[in-house]
Amino acid sequence: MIEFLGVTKRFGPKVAVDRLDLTVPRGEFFAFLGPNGAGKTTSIKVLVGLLHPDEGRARICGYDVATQPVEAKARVSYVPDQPYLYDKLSGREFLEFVARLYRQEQRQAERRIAELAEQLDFGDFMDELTEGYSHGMKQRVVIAAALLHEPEVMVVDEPMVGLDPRSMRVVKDILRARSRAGATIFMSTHTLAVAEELADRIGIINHGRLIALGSQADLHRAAGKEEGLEDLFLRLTAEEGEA
Amino acid sequence: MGLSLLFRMRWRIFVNAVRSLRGQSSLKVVVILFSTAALWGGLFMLFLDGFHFLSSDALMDFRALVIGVMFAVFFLSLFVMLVFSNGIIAYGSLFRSEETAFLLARPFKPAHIFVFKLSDALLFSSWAFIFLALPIIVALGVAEHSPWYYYPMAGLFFAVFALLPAAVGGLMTLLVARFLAHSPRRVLLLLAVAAAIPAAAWGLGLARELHVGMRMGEAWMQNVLGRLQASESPLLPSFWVSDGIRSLSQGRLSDALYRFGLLLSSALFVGMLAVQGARRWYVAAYHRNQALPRKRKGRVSRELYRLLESCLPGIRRETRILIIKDVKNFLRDPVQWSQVLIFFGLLGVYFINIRKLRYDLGAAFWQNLISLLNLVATSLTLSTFTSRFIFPQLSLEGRKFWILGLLPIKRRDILFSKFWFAFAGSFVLSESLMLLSDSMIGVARPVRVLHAVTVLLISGGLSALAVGVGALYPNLREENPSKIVSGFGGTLNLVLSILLVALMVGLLAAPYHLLQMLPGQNLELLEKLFEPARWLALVIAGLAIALPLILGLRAFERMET
Repeated sequence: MIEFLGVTKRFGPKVAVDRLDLTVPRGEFFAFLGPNGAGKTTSIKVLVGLLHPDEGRARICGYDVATQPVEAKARVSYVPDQPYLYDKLSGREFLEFVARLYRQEQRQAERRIAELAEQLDFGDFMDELTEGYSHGMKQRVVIAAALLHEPEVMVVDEPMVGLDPRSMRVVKDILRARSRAGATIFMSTHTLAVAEELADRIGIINHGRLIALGSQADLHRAAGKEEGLEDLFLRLTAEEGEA
Repeated sequence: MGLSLLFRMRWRIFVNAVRSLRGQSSLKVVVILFSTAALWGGLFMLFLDGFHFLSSDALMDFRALVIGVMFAVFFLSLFVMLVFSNGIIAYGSLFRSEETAFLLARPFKPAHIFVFKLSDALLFSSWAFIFLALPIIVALGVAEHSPWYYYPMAGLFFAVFALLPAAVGGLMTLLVARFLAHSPRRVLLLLAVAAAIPAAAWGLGLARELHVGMRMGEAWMQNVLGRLQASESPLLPSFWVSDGIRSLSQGRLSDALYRFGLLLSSALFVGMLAVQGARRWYVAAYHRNQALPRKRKGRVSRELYRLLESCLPGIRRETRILIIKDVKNFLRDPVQWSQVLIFFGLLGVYFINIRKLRYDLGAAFWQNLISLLNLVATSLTLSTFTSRFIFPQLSLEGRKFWILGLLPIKRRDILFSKFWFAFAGSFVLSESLMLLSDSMIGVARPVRVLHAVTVLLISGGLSALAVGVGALYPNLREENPSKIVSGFGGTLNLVLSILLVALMVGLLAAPYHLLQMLPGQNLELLEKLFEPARWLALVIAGLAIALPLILGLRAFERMET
């Protein structure tokens, strides 16, 4: 599970995340929404240990990311918004590197890589150097790397960007299946339809503060009227901006 | 396990990179190998000749002293340069690279990531040093008829010597990033400047000594060597390596092993301090650097850029807009302008102080010699500037290339904007320096005109080469300019630039200076050759400007991303 306990993060005078309190229980699919610059990626970077909170703590499966980083990171996988791959490694070599990092046995790793290559349809180009991959091809390999060690927590930042419709469908199915199998999914996205389709709960962040939290039904109840997530999102973030 | 996994992955990347060379043109590989062998062989012959010269009867008494001092100064300068270059490269590598973010989000120990990324900085900083120092070592071994074990052990000395400044630079970067100011890279650059100023003052003092020594007495020789002997302090690691290698070359194995032990234990000790420091501070330093306030645009106002744009008459509007964009990029990147400031600033300080050396009052011989050497120094510094900053400019457009590609302007305007930007900057910098040097030395007006024309042609040629070769051999995938420069195109550009400087100075300025320096000698042949040499220089300059731009433009117009 994931816990943000009063997390505040500043960049100089700018407060990027402001006293964020949020708990995502085991097995939940959580969608994290917000306009550009609202603090989504900063929150995610705090969660995976790439930024240190100025106040508060972030925990993964009970492990404090700042004080027990290796234990926390062994249980999480992270798909960044800009996929990073080593240009001079092939997709297969990159996945083997990640598998060894998470101490998977060679045979098990080979089997898992083959499975994921078939699921995400990258077997044809898996043995080419990644320097020639398109954004979508890189994204598929990075998602496969995140799934390799079957993590308890998956943090995904804009996972659908650059994917073709078939790959999007596959990724959605995989994330849903991981969630059903008990993994916690924390997904940041601008694609509201994906959040509507997949998420158990939705959080909306604006100017660093969590301004709405709950299931879609909860959000509609709080808003006092039945409207689509897009209208709700636009209204909430606009009101916040005006306030 | 984490560290070995990282190094295995790096090895796999190296193997794949070598394999991908097979797909490249064999001409390219042959040119690389030939240029490397020619450069290496040339350096070897030069140093071998130097060591043989020192063995001549006239210098026999000073031989050991001169070689000792020369080695000590060489290694001390290298040590200081390597500390700062390791530190500055390590900063980018440890705190700014995408790979570091990727690794830190995985269950690696921070100290392992630190060691791994520092080894990158070590390789980048030191490969050229190892490559250039090897011919010196081999030449010394041949000149001294050293025993066989000299060669492998000297290599070991080098490897361990390279580790020490890397560990010092890495530790320095870590401490600066963790504890100092809001702009660690700026602090590192300031430290580098702070180290360069006393070095420049020391160099000027030495130059003054050398000038006084035109009488070349033995007392003067002792005096000069005495000044340089500060570099032979037994407390300096650079002395351990210089003395160790000399001991080895003379077969004094136990002395060499003693120095090697000192070097190795110090490298291990500082390395251990750096790793302990990384355990304690690396993650905190990384977080601190990620949370630095976002940069706002510099204080140079919009009006100033408008003024600059209006100062570019006769250039198309679109080209001017692109030039201003490049000027902004340059002025807002402290890594670029600070290096230019350091190199040209040091030359400027030297030129301003040149009067203290009394060359302006001296004989025509010295006036001519020093002004010619200043022209060479300025031109070579300019060639490093164009190779380091202008050559990678087109490559650095990389992922942003679509912006340029979609602009409703011709690609030739883009290419020419790069050329004019480079030419204007190069000419203003180098011409100002030459005017300063010539007025301090007090050379005659014809010499000033000759230097102005030479610098004008060299600036044009070097700028066209850097832009043209940059367009012929772009690397649009790489975002690190150091890596772009160290590729094939960058190396070719550097070699051609040095060749151009040698040809232009040799054909245009040197004959005139020789005629002035050696009056009364029988120089009829030189006088006869002088006129055609000038015309030849003009033709070469024309070719150096036109050819790279034409070929570069063709390649650029066909370029796809």
